[in-house]
Formats: sequence, C-alpha cells, structure tokens
Amino acid sequence: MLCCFCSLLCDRDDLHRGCDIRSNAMKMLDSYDVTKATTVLRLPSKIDEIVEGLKQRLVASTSILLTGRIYSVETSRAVLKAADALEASLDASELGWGINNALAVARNGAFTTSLADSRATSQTFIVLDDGSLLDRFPRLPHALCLCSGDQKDSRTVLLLGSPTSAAIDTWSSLFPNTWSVPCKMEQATNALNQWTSHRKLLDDDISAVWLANLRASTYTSIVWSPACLSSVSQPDLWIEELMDWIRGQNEETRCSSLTLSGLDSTFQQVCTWTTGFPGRIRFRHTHPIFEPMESNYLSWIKRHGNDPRASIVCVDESAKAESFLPKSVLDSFAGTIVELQGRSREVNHNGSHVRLPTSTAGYDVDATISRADQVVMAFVPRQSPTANESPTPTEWLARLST
Amino acid sequence: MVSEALHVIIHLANGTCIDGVEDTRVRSLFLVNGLIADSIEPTTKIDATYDVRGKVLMAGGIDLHTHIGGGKVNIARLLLPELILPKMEPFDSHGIRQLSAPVPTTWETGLRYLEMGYTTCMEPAVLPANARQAHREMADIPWLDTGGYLLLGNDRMLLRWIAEGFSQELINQYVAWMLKAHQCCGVKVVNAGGIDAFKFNQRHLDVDEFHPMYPITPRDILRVLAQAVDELRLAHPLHVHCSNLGVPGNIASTLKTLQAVEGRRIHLTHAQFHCYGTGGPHGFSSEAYQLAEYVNWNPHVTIDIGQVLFGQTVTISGDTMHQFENRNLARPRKVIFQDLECQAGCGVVPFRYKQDQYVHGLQWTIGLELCLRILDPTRVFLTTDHPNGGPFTAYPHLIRLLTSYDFRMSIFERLHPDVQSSSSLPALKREYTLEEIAQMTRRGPAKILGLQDRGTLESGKIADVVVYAPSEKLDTMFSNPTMVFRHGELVYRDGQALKGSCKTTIVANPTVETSMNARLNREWLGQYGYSTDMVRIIDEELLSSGHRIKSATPLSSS
Repeated sequence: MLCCFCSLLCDRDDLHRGCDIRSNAMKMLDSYDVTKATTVLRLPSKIDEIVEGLKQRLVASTSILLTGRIYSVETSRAVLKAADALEASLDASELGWGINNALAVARNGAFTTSLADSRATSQTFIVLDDGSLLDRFPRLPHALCLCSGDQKDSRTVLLLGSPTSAAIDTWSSLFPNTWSVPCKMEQATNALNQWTSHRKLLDDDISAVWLANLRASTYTSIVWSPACLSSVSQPDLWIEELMDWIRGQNEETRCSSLTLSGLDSTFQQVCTWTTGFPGRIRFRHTHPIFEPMESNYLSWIKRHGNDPRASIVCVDESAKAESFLPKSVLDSFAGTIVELQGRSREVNHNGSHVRLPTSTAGYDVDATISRADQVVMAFVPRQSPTANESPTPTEWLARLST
Repeated sequence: MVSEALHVIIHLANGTCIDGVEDTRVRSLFLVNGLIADSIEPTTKIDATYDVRGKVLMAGGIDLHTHIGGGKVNIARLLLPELILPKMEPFDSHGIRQLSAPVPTTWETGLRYLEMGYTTCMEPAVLPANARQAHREMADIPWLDTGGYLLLGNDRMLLRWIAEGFSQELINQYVAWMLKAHQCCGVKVVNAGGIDAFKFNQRHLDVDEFHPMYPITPRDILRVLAQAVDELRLAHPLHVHCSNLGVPGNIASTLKTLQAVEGRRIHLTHAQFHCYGTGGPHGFSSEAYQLAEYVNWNPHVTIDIGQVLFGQTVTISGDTMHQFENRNLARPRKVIFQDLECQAGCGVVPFRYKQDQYVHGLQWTIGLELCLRILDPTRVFLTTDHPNGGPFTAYPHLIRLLTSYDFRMSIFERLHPDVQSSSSLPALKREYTLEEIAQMTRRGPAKILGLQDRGTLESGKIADVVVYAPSEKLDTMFSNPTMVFRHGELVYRDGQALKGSCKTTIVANPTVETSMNARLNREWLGQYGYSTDMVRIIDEELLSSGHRIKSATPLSSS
C-alpha cells in the first residue's frame, strides 16, 4: 500500500508504522462524516445554481488567481487548463519552497541524486536540517538505511544545522556513526566550504573522525529540503552556493544533492511540460508569462486584496486540516474566494466565500504523484474505505471554467 | 475514446503516391474506418473526397529517436527558461521552422511534428523508475502516437546478475518483465555499465574494461542484452548508445561495440557522435567511411545519424560520464547532472553549435557522409537526436541537403576552411530520391520497430497519410503539408491544426513469467527500497486515460 501523505511515498508496512504524518492523516480522514459535506451535492438544482453563480463571478472578475495544494498529475492538468481558459495567474508553490529551488536550478544548474542511489551508493550522508526535516519526512532515515531488524548501518551521517534531539536519536539508532555539528542553516554552505578547502580547521579528535570520513568518501549525498530554509534570508542564493560546492566536489570525487521536495513538486513537473515554466505564471491570450515574483500568490493577494472584482480559486486536494489560504486572507479578501477542499473542513456555499467539497488525492481517488526526489512518479490507488461523492477538482474546474 | 474516423470514408483522388514500396504512381486512396484501402465497393457512400491531383502522398513520418518525454526532458526545460521565445519568426535563415525553446512544451512538440507530417515518435531513453512520468508527459503530446525504449545496461540489479553468472533465460525474463512493467517497446543501452561506473568515480570505461564494482565489461552487457532482445523476439533491435560518446578516436570502440553483439541485431543510435578519428589538422577527423562500410556489409546493423545543426540547443543524455566531460563547454554556463535510482543517470548541458568552428563543422559533414555512404535507406534513419544535435524541425532542411548536391555544397562552402580541406563530402555526389526519403523516414523505421500497421501506403495500413504540395525546394514541401490524416481523421489542413485525435502508446508485449513478480519484488525491496508496485504500470492505467495500446509485432511473425 502506498502512502501519499508526505512525498516520500512509502509503500512498506515497516515505514508506515510509527509515522506521525500517516497516522494523523488517516485518523482525520477516516473519521470524517462524508455525508455532512456532501449534503449540498444531493440537490442538483442547488448545486447548478451555485456553480452558475460562481461562473458568472469568475467571468466578470478583473483578475483571477488559481492556487492551492495541487498534488496529482490529474488535478495539475485540470488546473492548467482552467487557468488558461480563465486567463488567470497561477501559483501552486506552497510558501515558495519549490519555486526557490527551481529558480536556483535555472540560474546555476544542479547535481542531484535520487532516493535509491543515495541509499545504495552513498558512503557519507550530510543532512542539512533546521529542526523540521523529520517532521516533514518522518521516515527518511529508515528509507535511507540499508539494514533491517537489529542490524545497523555503519555509514557516516553528519547532521548539520539545528536538528532536534529526537531527530539525532532517530538517525543514531539506525546509523551509529552519526555526528551532529550545530550551526545556523544560513551558515551551512560556508561550513561545507571550510571543511573541504581548509584542511587545518576542526582538528580536534572527534571532528577529525567524521572529517576524515567525509574527505575519504567517494560518494557523498547532501540530504536537504527547500522547505527547511525558512530561516535563510536568500534561499535561492543559498541553494546556488550549495550546488557550487557540490559541483566543486565532483571534480575529484562524487557528490550529489538529494533534494526532497514537497507534494507540490508534481504540479511543478506538469506545469513545466505544459508551459515550459515550473509555476508562477500568468496566462495571457496566446502564451503563459513566467512571473516568479508577481505571480507569487501572497504578492498577488496583497495587490488585489481590496478589489471586490478579483477572485481566488483555491484547490486543496491535501489531507491537511488547515486551509491553504492564510486566515487573514480568508477574513479580509474583498473579492470572491472559491475553495475546493477535501474532507477536512466544513462546506459553505453562500456569499462571496464558497467552500465546495472535493476529493483528497490518493485517498478518495486514484492519483499520480511525484516522489520527493522528482524521479519516481507513483500511481496511488484510492485508499478510502468509504465512497466520497464529492466531485474531483478536475470535475469542479471543468464546470467552473467552461 | 473511439475515434470519429472509425465511421468515416475519405477519398483522396489521383495523388502521386510515394511510399518506397511500389513504384511512384498516380492513384486514388480510400481511408476507410481509419485504414487505407485501394478500392471500395462502388455503392459505398463516401463522406468526403479531396482532389489531390498533382500532390504527393506519403505515409505519416516516423521518428525513431527523439527526446520528447520524461524527467530529463523536463529538467532541460527547467534549466533554460531564458531561452523561451514567446514570439519569433516562424522560420530561421536556413528555412528551418523555429521552436520557441530548445525543448518545447508537449503541445508545441505535437504541433511541430504535425506540421512536417510526422505521426509516430519514439522516446529513446525511458528510465524505468521514471517511466510513468514519461508516459504521462507523452500522453499530453497531441497528434502523435508514442512509445519508448527502456534504459537497461546500467541497472545495478542486471549488472549484478550478469556478474554472478545468472542464466540467459533468467535475464531474458527480467528484460521481458521490465518491458511489460514499464510499457516500453524496445531496449536501449547507454554507455553500457559506464553510467554506473561513474557513480563509483570511474571517469572512463572502454568496451573491454572492467566495471569498478562488478567483474564485467560493457562487451558482456551488450552481448547479454542483444541475446535477450533476440530470444524474446522483440521487433526492435538492441538500441545502443556506444561507449566514448563524442571522444576523438571513438570509432575503435564503436566497431568493438558492433562486434560485441556477435552478429545479433543492433541499432547504433546518433552514429554521427560515434565515428571520430584522431587525424586531421586538429586531432579530430571523420571515420564515417569505416562505419558506413561496416553497416553496408552487415545487414543486422541499422543506424540513425544524429545530425548536427548550427545554433543553440541543449544536450540531454543518460551518459553522465561523457556529459560530465563536456560540462565546461556549456553555453549558457550551467549544467544539471543526476544519478538516478541505481538504474542510470542524466546530464543536461546546453550547447551552441557554430558553423565556423572546426569540430562542429566536421560533425555536420559526418552525419551527411553517413547517410550518403550507406547504400540501403531502410537501414539509415534521419534523426537529429532531438534536441542533442538540433531540433527535429530541421528534418525538411536535412531532406533537402540529402536530395540536392548543390544545396549541400552551398552550406559546406561556409564551413571552417580546415573542414573544407579535410572532408570527403564534396566527393559524394549521391542525391536521395523521394522514394529513398520515404524509406528512410517511414518504411524503414516502421520495419525495425515492428510497426507492420504503418509506414507505407499499402492497403490495410493505418490511414496516417500526408499530402504535400510538390516544390523544387523540398524543405518548403516537407514543412508545409497540405493535409495530414491520422487514423483516417483530417487533423491538419492548409497550415491549421484541427482537433486532436486518439492517441496510441506503442509497446512490446513479451511473455512474462508470473514467477518473476515475487522474485523481482524481493530484489526491488533490497536494491531500491520499495516494491515493484511503486513503478509497475498496468494496461488499465494507460487505457484509463483514453489511450489505445498497440503492440509491436514480434520478430517471428514479421
């Protein structure tokens, strides 16, 4: 069974056990009363009226933003089609993590690896963690460990940044040769540069061991996530520096970045093959325009927040309990908001803020989703034991945009 | 989705039919329920008649090697947003239709192929772990039937099996399972063993050198895979990207590669990049003659050329070992390298071929030399290895180069003086005929792909038919069809693409032993850390998106 609640897309029972993300999501989704959410759907004339009203508002809008948590190939295609039809701005990069990485790659290139190669080929792992990495990918150490049962993996793990003590314990329990070197995330790339270029640094006994391991490693994986750079002032420049360091390493030995993206990376893939750009685009008559700054959904909302004729269509096919849009936006946006949302929140079909029930990707409906390294694309069959009558985002968007 | 064409009968009256099978002659074709027919019952109601007197009719073009889908194609897009041109002149100064980017979007890819009359394309490097993405992406390319070749020969599981002396029968079963599970129609090897060796920091691997981790050589890998392809009766021969891509003097390892398969069928891809010597004024010379001679004397060998065109492009290859050597040649100066899932890798290096540069000019002549020296046009195929040598939209231009000595020479005269003094191209006076072009771009590719249902205008073939207005300038003719029919449906007319039509995914369909499922699942968990269910694509998954699946005809019944 594939679990699609974080982008590691685990399919092993031993990985599911003890995973907080999975257990919390399953608890919430399984307990939700679907009939309550879908009452409105049982009144065809009512729902037709709602959709027709929304269509008219969208057509009359001065500006439209399509955004949200868009996790599957199927919904990504529908969102792109709707954005084109509505000539909307489009941004599905939650807090800009994915787009920061895409911008850095587009400026400076990258050296990357995938989960299996990192797991099987690496002699050393350098894990860059701001303290949130294992909250986002709880089973990452297990997915990288080559041993099972009571056996331990003897390879070196160097934790750089500010991992929690629980994270250090988890890594250490699987990789006894784990070392933690606290530093600010902002300084992590500098530290890497120093270790490899100034050989006299850090010559105490303890550091000497892992430094020797690092320098002798013929394949080093740098494990990190763009989502862990919230404390970094210029994430895109930080990523460029990291890739520069990795590029330099490859002149002599092998080194690659295991970049762990969120579930929004699926949208990034589909958007790239459909438009040539990874996201943050504005559709005009004949072609999409790449606007990495202006089409940032937060910037867009700031510019259009007081416009009663602006509209936001927010598609959320996640299992998260909180809304994608910040509460301040939900409370104060002057125009129309249409939220297509999963089982997690109450529906509301009156006024200028409409919440319509939809399916959760990989839970209510089959979904094609990219793994965190953006190499494997998995087909996650529906897992819900109960049927959800709600239209999929694709069905809603087709009705709203045509 | 059922094509509307299934219920339509179209009459194409009095066209000049050229398909490289029969002699060129004026005749009428009927497109009946999506298939070509020579005649119909006199009482049959015809839905539409088009008088194509004076026009040239050919089967839909088939590109057997073009990078159009999958992760590496998408990261090339991601790397180069600044090269996207929202507005441009439709044709460049050479008359080549311009793409809006070195790697266009899926929609533009379909449209530009349609504008040349191509209807079937093969993605030549499908990474097993990324096969689903490749299929999803190709599903979004309109107007084209698509398929892919599965990358094997650097997958660590196979390398280990060969090293441990597993039986050929077991390896055959592995290949069959992999093809079926990833819905591909052929097997591709890129720098056999070399991509994996690079992960262990080995920077060079020749045909008879040992892999750093497994006591096997590229020769061993090629022999085993060629045998598997033959014994599984796959229509498409082992599709091989040799060791030593682009390295001066690589003709030696290319010939060793061809010999490694011990007389079994082999397709040497982008051959232009693999037939260099070390002679000449710059230590870089053409050995096209040697390779062409080998092909002429060995009927089990086919090649596609990988022609170079001048201008900006981006090179994308699984061959990380040799792409890494080119990293400092990147223009713009940025590259992406990926190590992928213990199966292969990917190197993306943007590149600009310059007409006045010696090496680039010589590469241009070598591709043409190969085409002109190889006698059988059903065994040498027109490709640019899009986007590696240049855009696929250059095919009409290349056709004109092959069919007109004077046109060829008009460009040759602008190349670097040392190219002009060292190349034998001026001595090659051969001019391809339209029949030979049909063989090279339609009939030949269909034959080695096992696509018995297309490639010619014979009765019973699928009605992928292109109508061209003849012109002395064949590049003009081949880049502006009057009409294109796909599966009997009119999809392009007078410069306008019409509605999209049904899509078909082309696959091989080897028999798979069910016992392999459990065995590979165990191996997969050990090697990759997940079960085969993560990556296996069942037929229903493809069919659920409205696609059809077409199995290439196995060799025994060809």
